[in-house]
Amino acid sequence: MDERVADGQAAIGVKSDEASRADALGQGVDMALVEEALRGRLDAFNQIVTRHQDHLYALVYRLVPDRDQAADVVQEAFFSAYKNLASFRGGSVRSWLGRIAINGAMDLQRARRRRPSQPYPDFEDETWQPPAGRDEEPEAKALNLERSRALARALDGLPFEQRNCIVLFDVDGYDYAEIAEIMNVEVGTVKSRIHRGRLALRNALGPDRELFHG
Amino acid sequence: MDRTASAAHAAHDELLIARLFGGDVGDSERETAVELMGACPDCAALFADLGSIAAATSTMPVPVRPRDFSLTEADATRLRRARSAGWTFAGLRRSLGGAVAALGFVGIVVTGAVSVFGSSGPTSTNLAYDTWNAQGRVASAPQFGAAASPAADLSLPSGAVPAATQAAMAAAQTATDRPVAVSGTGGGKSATAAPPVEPAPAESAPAGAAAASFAPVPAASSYIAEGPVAWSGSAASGAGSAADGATGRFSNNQHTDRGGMDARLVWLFGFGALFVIGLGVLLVPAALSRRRPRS
Repeated sequence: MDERVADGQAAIGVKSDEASRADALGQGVDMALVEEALRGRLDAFNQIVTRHQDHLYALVYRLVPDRDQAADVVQEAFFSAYKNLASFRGGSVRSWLGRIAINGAMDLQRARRRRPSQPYPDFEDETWQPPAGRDEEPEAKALNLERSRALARALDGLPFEQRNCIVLFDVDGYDYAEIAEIMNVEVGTVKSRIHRGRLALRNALGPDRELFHG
Repeated sequence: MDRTASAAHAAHDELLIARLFGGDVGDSERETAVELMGACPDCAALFADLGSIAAATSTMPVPVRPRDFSLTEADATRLRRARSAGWTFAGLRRSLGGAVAALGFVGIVVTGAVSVFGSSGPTSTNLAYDTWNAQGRVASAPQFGAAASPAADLSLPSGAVPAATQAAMAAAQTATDRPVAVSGTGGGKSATAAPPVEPAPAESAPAGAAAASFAPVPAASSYIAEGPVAWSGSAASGAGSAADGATGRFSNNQHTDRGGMDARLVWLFGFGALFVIGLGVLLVPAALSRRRPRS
């Protein structure tokens, strides 16, 4: 039974050494670009934009499932980052940009307070792309598509506090403390939202749960 | 899975299983959860589902961004201007907030110091006057000619003594070297000063108080004990040196303290409000920006 617990926890995973090294290298590049941008080089800032815009858009889109609004939030996040670049205190540029974008997305969620009538477009849409390195076998692709569609529907049914925590933790890899800081709540609250959110997600999947077996 | 197992599962703590999956359990809870999973197939299925759902969530397809978010030169110029304006505003806000808070703080300290040191205990003159009253040397206090009308009693609204009257009172005090009772009407127009006199004699009235006429008022001493405020030290302070010199001598301690305390409370409240407003201007935007880490 302990092995099964260990396997389960591996699913929500710890970063490999290779990934950690890549992160460190990326941070070094980001810091150099920030310094250049602070000297007034707009092209250096735009390189930062290029490096992080896909990640930010994907992140915001999962919180605000509306393409136009998500794009606006990301654009505002980059504007805000440029305006406040001098007050960047070091650390991970990716996390810093993520926090700015997530705050924007949460502002939007609070403003809307109602769910969109047509969240998440169909996954057959060519504007979706599978995560890099995924198995492209047609059968696996179809299964993943079905799972993603079911998950998107179920996620949309969660309270946005739970949805945000799950997306940030399970999808984007933020840790508990980072999420707590972003959402301005205690770490215990974040954990509770994630645990309850996962249970709610499983219940919301209903019969689609079968897609995830095996 | 039989029906009995499902019924039993309804009583099991699913959140505990979810916490076990998230690695958020202590040793004893972990044992309990593992036991549950060993005994209940539904709990074990729940754990497995959580794993597969979390894995699928982390590999959801990524939406393709609809446009490039790079900044144009026009965007950069606009944002630089906005940043400059923001800095200017922030500087002004900090300066203004700091000045207002400092003013409020100094005001509180000064007003507090005046309250503590400015009126603690009776002055020697008042003490002498109280003693003098206690000895019954004022069998009857003077009543005033000008104030003898029914409208005139021994009360004055706080701060209603005009400078001229205060000067007269000071003169009377100088001439008699004794405390003087004070009276006047609401507007202070008929107020006058009267030195307390020995039972004998109106003829001993001092020259400095020539404008005043005296008549015995048996209740004068009770006025001194219970009547309304004559004027406050702070109100008299701006009325000229003669009045300043007389401050505290012409009025009963208790009355002066009460009026002065009222005024000091108003000042304290005002300075306190300034201090709080200044702090608010300084700190609230900073707290908000810390709460929302946009930069």
